[in-house]
Amino acid sequence: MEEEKKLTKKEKYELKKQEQMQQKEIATKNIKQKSLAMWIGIAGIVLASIAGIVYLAANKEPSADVKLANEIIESDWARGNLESEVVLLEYADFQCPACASYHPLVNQLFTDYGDRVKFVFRHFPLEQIHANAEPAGRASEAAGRQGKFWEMHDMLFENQTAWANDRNAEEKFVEYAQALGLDVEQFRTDMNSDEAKNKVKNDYDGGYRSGVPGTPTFFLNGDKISNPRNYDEFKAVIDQALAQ
Amino acid sequence: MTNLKQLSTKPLPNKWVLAFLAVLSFASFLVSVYLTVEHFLGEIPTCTVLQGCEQVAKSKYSQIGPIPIALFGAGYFLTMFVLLAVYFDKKTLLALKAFVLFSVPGFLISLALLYLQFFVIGAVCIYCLVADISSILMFAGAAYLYFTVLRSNP
Repeated sequence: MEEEKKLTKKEKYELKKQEQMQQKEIATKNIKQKSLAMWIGIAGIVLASIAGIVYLAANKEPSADVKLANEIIESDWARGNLESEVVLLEYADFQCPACASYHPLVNQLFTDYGDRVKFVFRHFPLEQIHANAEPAGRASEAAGRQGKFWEMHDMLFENQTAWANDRNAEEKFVEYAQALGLDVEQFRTDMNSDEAKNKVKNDYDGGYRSGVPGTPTFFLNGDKISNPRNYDEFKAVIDQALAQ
Repeated sequence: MTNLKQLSTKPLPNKWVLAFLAVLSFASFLVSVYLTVEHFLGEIPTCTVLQGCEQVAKSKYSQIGPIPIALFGAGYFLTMFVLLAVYFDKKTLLALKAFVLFSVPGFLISLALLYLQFFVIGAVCIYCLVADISSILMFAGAAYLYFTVLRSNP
């Protein structure tokens, strides 16, 4: 009390001013800390959300034991031993380079096992990345209407690089139809028909329901198999199925 | 004193509207991140409410070059969320002005994407629909902010 009394008016004023300054500094510091905490919190939530979504998406239930949503039906393209109980079903996209790489392997399998195995082909056009895949599927359907599905199937895979990025791929398909001796006008009509569109779409939908993750995807007797890395691996899988 | 007086007479944005816009932008950001992750994992998002997600997700309109539209969406919604956070933090109207400005292209792009889904692709993806409607609501919120606060605070 005595000390306070001893302070002059000017000193009291200075003291008060100093106290006010200190309070202001503390308040500013608090605001800065709150602001920093808010931004750290936001950054944390954003990063944790991204990490959580990536984790959840990457750790979905494995689709290894996925079963076919629909059984092999009359309208499926099938060759080989049509009565066989061993069925190799391929979901493929004519514009997919990996499918074109598998094409000789599947053809070799057909040569070696055509008398014992039923080979089925279904469309799975990845339109997002392959603009000409769906028209190619329709072209094969149109050729199929004139009894040359498998011939067109081979032609499309073997000449994939010639039409894959062609803006006018449908004209290339017409050329192939001509080379295969098809009625070109009928081919054009069939290629643009609703039947061809629906067939390709239905195949895709069935594949989607069956959990087809990409192309090519193979199902052996209704079970999805991991893509064999070479012909011998493929052969081993088929041999195993035939032995059962 | 003059400044304080001026500030106190000028309208402030409704904090509930701002909170709603913040929640909306963050939720849409999460949806866009999900679509982006699914795109890069090469998977097709599953849809339960509306069919057709796979058709939208695999259509040629779902990406610009190698970049999925969803990634642009994620960037857009995160920017909008951050702008609102800047306003909450600094109380600067500049952040709200940027929010209003960015909401215009967001709104127009969403209308275009809705048109593509309904009239070109012929299928609707629920995740895309959520992001598009959210973007339209954000534009409505931005218009509200402009007419109630920003117009009188040039």
